[in-house]
Amino acid sequence: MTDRLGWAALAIAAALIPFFTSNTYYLYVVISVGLLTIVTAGLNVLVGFTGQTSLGHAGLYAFGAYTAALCVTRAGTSEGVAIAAAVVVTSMVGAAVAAAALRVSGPYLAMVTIAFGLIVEGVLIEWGSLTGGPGGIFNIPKPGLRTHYWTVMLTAALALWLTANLRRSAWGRACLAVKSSEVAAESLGLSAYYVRIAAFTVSAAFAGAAGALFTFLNGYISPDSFTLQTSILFLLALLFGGSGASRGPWRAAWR
Amino acid sequence: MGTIIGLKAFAVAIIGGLSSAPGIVVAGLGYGLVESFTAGYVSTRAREIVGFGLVILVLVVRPWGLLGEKPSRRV
Repeated sequence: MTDRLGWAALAIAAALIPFFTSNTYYLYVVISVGLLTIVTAGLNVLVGFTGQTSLGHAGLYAFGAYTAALCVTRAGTSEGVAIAAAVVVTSMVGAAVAAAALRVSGPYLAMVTIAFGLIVEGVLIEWGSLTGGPGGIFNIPKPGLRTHYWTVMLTAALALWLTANLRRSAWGRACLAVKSSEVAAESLGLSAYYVRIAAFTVSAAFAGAAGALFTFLNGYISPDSFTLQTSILFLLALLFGGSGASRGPWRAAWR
Repeated sequence: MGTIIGLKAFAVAIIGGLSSAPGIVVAGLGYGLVESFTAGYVSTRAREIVGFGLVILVLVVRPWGLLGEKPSRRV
């Protein structure tokens, strides 16, 4: 019960911040916290629930950001469509990476995800005709900062709510089972491989959504925002907040 | 700060097989050649793409490395 009151107080406080400050920098910072919350909530599904480490989430984040940017600048779609497209594309990329990566575990998995992140970064720089090369994509139409603030906060709340529910569902329990004992989970008829792929895909979808929102926050993206350091930051934020706990990502994103 | 070099060393160890010294020597030489040829014929930035793509490929096909021993699975 106190937990729920805490959440409600937090939600109200978050919703009211724009009424108390007109300082755009403060709003920018809180939006960044929201973005980090979304990514970390997704990463929590993978690391906290399923016990797999990913050091390549900046790559997925980049996929979301660039998909949204290209949708808006090249195809001329609206912001909502761009975010939806980013989530779909990033989930598919995540599923493909997971299919290759999750045959291995431990340091090998870390290596595959690091390699994925570095490859994405390299391609963003190399494929200049599509991604704008090292200069990135600029002049992306963006919504007003306050409107965007509420969009991000709503998405972050949705992300936390979804992952908390997922944890209590059959899928979440399957993830936890695979984490605590792969052999025991498999002897109960769960395919550890497919549970992991599902977790990675969900995690990728969150990263894609956050990436798209990041694009509309700045109106400018370049490969510099999606390096290995970014991946490490995501994982570090999760570990600070407490991996596995539903509220961990929110606490973590502030630090 | 040398992060990429350290990662490449780890990548080479995985390609060669963590349990095999000769494998690492072969993989190190091979990886270096592939990188340099890519840098020369394609572009310097593409060498990372090709190099790390190679690691993923090896881990998908032979997770225990080129010359490493296939580990037995303990239950």
